[in-house]
Amino acid sequence: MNSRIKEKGERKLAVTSYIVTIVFIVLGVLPLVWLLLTSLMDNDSIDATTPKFIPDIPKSISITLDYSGQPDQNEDFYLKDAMKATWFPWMANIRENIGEIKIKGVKDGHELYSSKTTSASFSVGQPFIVPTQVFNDTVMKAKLPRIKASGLSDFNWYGQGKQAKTGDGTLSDKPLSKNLQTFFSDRKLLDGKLTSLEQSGNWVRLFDSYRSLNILASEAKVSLGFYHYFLNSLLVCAVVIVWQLVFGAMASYALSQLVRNKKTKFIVLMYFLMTIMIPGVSVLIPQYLLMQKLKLVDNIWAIILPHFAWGFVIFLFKGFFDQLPKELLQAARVDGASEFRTFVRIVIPMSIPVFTIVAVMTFIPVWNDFLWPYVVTKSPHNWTFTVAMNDLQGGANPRANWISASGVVSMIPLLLVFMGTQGAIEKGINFTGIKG
Amino acid sequence: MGNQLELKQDTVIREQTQTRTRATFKIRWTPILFLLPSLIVFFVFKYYLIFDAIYISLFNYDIVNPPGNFVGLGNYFEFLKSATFWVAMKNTLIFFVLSVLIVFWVPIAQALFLSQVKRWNAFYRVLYQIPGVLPVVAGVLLWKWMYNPDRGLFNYLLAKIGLGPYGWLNDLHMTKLAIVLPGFFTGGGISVLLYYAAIKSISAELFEAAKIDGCGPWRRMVIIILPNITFVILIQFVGFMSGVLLSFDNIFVMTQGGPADASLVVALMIQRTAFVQSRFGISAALSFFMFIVIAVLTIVQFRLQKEDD
Repeated sequence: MNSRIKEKGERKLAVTSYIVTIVFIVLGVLPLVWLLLTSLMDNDSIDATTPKFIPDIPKSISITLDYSGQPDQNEDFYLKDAMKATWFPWMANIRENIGEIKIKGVKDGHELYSSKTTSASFSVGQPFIVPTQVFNDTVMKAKLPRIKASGLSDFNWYGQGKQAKTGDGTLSDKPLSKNLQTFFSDRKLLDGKLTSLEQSGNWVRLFDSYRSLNILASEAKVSLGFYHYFLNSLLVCAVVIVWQLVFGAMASYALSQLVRNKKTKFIVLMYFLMTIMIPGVSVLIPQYLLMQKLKLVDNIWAIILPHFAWGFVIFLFKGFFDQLPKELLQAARVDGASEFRTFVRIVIPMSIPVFTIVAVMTFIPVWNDFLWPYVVTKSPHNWTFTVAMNDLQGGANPRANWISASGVVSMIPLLLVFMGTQGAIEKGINFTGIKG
Repeated sequence: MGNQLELKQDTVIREQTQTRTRATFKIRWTPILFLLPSLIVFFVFKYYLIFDAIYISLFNYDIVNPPGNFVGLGNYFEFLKSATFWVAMKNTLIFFVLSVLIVFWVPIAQALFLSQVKRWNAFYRVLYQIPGVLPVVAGVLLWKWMYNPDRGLFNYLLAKIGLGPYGWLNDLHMTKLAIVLPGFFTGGGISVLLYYAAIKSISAELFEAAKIDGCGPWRRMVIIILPNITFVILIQFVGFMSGVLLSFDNIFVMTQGGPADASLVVALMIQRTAFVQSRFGISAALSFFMFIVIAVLTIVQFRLQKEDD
């Protein structure tokens, strides 16, 4: 490479440096890997006294029920039978990592119906559909409307229309399948005759905790399940960033280039910068009382508005605008451009780096914000995801893999932001001299 | 409150008249229009609020029928006399010491060694940012399970090497350590970049000179790099202090201040006295106390920064 002579100790330092760097990075990334892995596990693996590190492939159960030789019945009768064959044995074997149960109903060579329930649906529906280990016909009769209304189980009714593929009639002898067969033969719950029960693995169901987040709280809490909260957080961030990029930039530009009186300039600058001394927690109570007066408690605007006043943004912008070449701005003025036009046409295109920095520096704390949204929102409809996650851990049905799945999703925006703007951040550290 | 509003309008008017007299018979509206939205939101969400906090702190505040009885500085004396406040102060001090020992030096060490890494340096700098993308609340929940005394990852791994089991968050003496420890793993994030930039800005001649004087690579790190970034470290340290004093989210989500107030800090006390006990007056007095402390620290930090530039 180059001809310089290696110094004594240089190599040792280089090797140590690589090792230390890699160790620190591994330490930092390990918890995130653990988060990702647990989001793919079932809850019993997470809660096990000897933790597992590799997620198991969820089991897929296919059951065929034969109704040949029985009188014809209506659709609801078969739906009930299929649901009994799905929810009851699943609840009885809740500690098994079942990914999905598929039921096929056949009668005299026709396929009557098919039904499919995934673990995403089961884990959401379990607390209200099969809360206990009581399994009988009456219970299912009572729960059937709930199942239908929530749409947790897919049910396709074919009537006489569909030719059945002759099932191969195998009854799997894997441990879980044996358990299920015993369950069916002991309880005698089903009207159809169990003709085949197959068990396989389906890795697609590993990602069901993410799907659970989507159907979570479909019990009318919020429209989009957990993703609703992420959208709320994104909305808050977007509005705050837009405000800062427009009005924060305008104020700092005016301060930097338009106000010519030194004394006014100093007073206004101090007016903005002094607020950096006021921590959020110090104004928590008056801020809450103010929102009460404005009738904004439990409104998403109550989360957004306080973020508009941020001295640090003015500090960043002004540091950059102070360095703009005066001659260029003067030239534009001489050409007769209005101040506003100069700002839009000349200043903004030159200031893309500082706009990037401000957007990132605004996004991170607003996305992470917890205390204020927690205090000012009441109904889940207005929660940001941080409030929702805190609720998830203390809620009635805390499922570890939901928490980790939401954790993984919550990393995505910041990950994209960092990947996309690393260069800009590093440049920004140099030109703004951020020291805090 | 009306008083402050008048004062505010007064400054705006004064500013207008100043520009009017100076500009050649033309009011320069543009700067005023550019500044106005920000002036208003800063007034409402910063100045009005902090003065309102002071105002509330002087009353035995009654939320139904505000402001309630005037008690003067009574609220301040009350919290100064309460045992809980001093527990919170003591906890804050311990949190601070633990954070300095476990967290503060990490980004400095990371940047120091990173500056010696030649190959793939930019890549490592990106990787250092990765732990920071996990939102605080999500990270805390993750650590909370790992701390679970019966089923957590930590006790399992420690048992393998013959240690434990530990109570972690349930243990009066360990809970503070357990709250601070994640910061070590998360590392410095953006502050790594900051220290790194500071190290890179040291002139190469300084290194060459030291080399000629027979100073080895390890000694150069101690003798040249460290003294040249002391100022950045100092500034960061002051910022770090306010960060520790203000920490709320991680403690609240992890322990809510428990067990038995072992992790209670002033920020949590503010939230608790206001929104759990409805004692807004005391809470406001604590808020103002917090403001004074943070204000002093911020001023110190700005002073240092100015000197550094």
